[in-house]
Amino acid sequence: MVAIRYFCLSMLLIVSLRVPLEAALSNRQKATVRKRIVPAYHHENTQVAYQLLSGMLDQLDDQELQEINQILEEAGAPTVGTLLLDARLRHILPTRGKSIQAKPREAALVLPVLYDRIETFLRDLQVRFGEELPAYDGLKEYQDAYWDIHVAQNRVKNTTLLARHGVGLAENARRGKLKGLTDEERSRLDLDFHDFLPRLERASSNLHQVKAELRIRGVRRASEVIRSSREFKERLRASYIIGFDGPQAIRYLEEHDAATFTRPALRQEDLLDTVRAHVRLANESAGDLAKKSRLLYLGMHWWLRGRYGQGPEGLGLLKSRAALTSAMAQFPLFMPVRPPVPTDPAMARHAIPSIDRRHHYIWMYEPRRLFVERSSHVEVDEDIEETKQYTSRTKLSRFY
Amino acid sequence: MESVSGTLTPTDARQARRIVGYLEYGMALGYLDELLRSLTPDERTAIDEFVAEHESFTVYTNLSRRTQTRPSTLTERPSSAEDSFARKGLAWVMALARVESGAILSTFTTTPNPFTVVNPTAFEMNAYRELLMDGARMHYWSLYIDPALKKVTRTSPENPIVLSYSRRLGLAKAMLRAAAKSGVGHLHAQQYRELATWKQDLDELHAGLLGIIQSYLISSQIQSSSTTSSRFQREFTEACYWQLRAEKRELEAGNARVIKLGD
Repeated sequence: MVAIRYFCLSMLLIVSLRVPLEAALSNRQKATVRKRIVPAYHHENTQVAYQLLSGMLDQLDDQELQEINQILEEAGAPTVGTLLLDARLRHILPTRGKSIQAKPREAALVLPVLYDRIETFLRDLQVRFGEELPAYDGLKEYQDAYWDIHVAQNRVKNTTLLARHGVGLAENARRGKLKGLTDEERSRLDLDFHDFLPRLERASSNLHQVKAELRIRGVRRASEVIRSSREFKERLRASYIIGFDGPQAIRYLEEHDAATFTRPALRQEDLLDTVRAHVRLANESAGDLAKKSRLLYLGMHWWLRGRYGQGPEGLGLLKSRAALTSAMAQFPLFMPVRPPVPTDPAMARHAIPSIDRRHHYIWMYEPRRLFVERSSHVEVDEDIEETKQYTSRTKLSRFY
Repeated sequence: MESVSGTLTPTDARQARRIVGYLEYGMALGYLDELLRSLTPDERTAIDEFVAEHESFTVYTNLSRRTQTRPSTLTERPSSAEDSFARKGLAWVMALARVESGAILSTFTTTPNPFTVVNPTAFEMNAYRELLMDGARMHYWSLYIDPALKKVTRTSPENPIVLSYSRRLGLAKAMLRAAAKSGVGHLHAQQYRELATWKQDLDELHAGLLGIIQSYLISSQIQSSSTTSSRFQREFTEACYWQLRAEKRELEAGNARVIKLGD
């Protein structure tokens, strides 16, 4: 009888121990999210947010993750999955696809967000650049539309990188330690990103045709303006379109067989000759305005990059270390999708651009070191070691 | 026997390539300078208006007002009661590009007179002067109210923040010099006196940081059991070679003085 009693008691204890305690974040974890991760996000310091979050993941169950997502939402920040993904994106795109390996748990959070993002992008692209292009009367509207296509093309390239990254991330995660993942999390690792690649290729091809169609239309309109308008600024704009878009449109038509075009506007008879004639007549009317407009637009374009561009390191102030030795690596920057309207940094809470003057902050980047040598071994600073693989990232803290 | 020597990794001008804006503003100025040379006065006016119509090219000035803590003769005054300090037009665009380029050159290269090397023209000189002065004010006031500065002066120079602040002071001084030079004919005597006071403050701060570095190296040398006086002198010189080279220029120009330990 006593034995039975003890047996029941022990079974009760075992059963009690197997009932999960109500999950809750510790105060320390909540403080990490509120006081470190949220500010890092708002200061666009995705690297810090990523390191803190990915370090916590193994200790969190689903309920705790939900709790973190709630804290993030209240603070105006995105979900854990989105934060992790955005941090990965800032690393992937500048390094053209080299990926950071992710543990299965992190992959299970990131992959659905990535999948949705790519799917939504492709859907929106279909809607915006479908069969018919809208009519653009003014040259400014034409340039705005051209900019939209240019941005869309860059986004297709970037999204293709993301899709390939998704393929690699999922495959790698499936080979990892899956013990501890729920069934739901395991199913997310099976998301198929391969299907996106041919769709993105078709989208890219369509955008090339859309761009050509828009260019041709713009060239026609610009040619009319140059030959008929006396207004300097309009002629300037028209000259640039003729000078830049004209040769590009001609080259595109020369290089592609009209029969391969899916867009009807590009299959018109004698289209190439028509475009050539427009460009020739416009250039005859424009005189030296073509060169001046080109200088202006290129100067403005590079200025916008200097003003609003952000590098992948040092809170946007720095390009990657590869820029020290590679001209190509000096080019990539994160740029706003639309040319922004700046705010007064002395008055605005969140200034646009966030870097009001680069010279306020660049001094924080200190690649030199002062050290005392006590042996014959000489330490070489990796910044000046040309052949060494650049693996570390430069961090700065915004001072003002 | 152990040998001891201090080393400062040398200035590497290539570091400027990492700074966002170095390539970009340089390219912009290349195109815009050529454009400016080719324009008639009427065309210049039309293009100035064209640029002003694009909001993205607005440049705000007088950013230093958010850090200024006491009255100053150098404070920028609004041009009217409605002045929002928003400036538009090609001159402001080019002026900003030149100030930023000059600052990058000053901070990461040994280019002499970096704010002259960027070649401001008469077209944007007023704007350039204003942005330069605003930059000088910003650096001065920010250092003045910097809560970290005192801590940096007590930090071991092995911590890169000490070199970083030395770099910052170098930039602030270069900007101040350039602002003073460009202000000839536009600043009155009282403003020049205030600039001179600011310059002295920055020189003292900078010399103080260098003194910390020097005394750090001296104390490292004393810890060694195997130094001779000639090696001491050689290593001492090598350790501070790059910084001393820059300071030697300033001392010869009469722009700096050395604070000796024990003063």
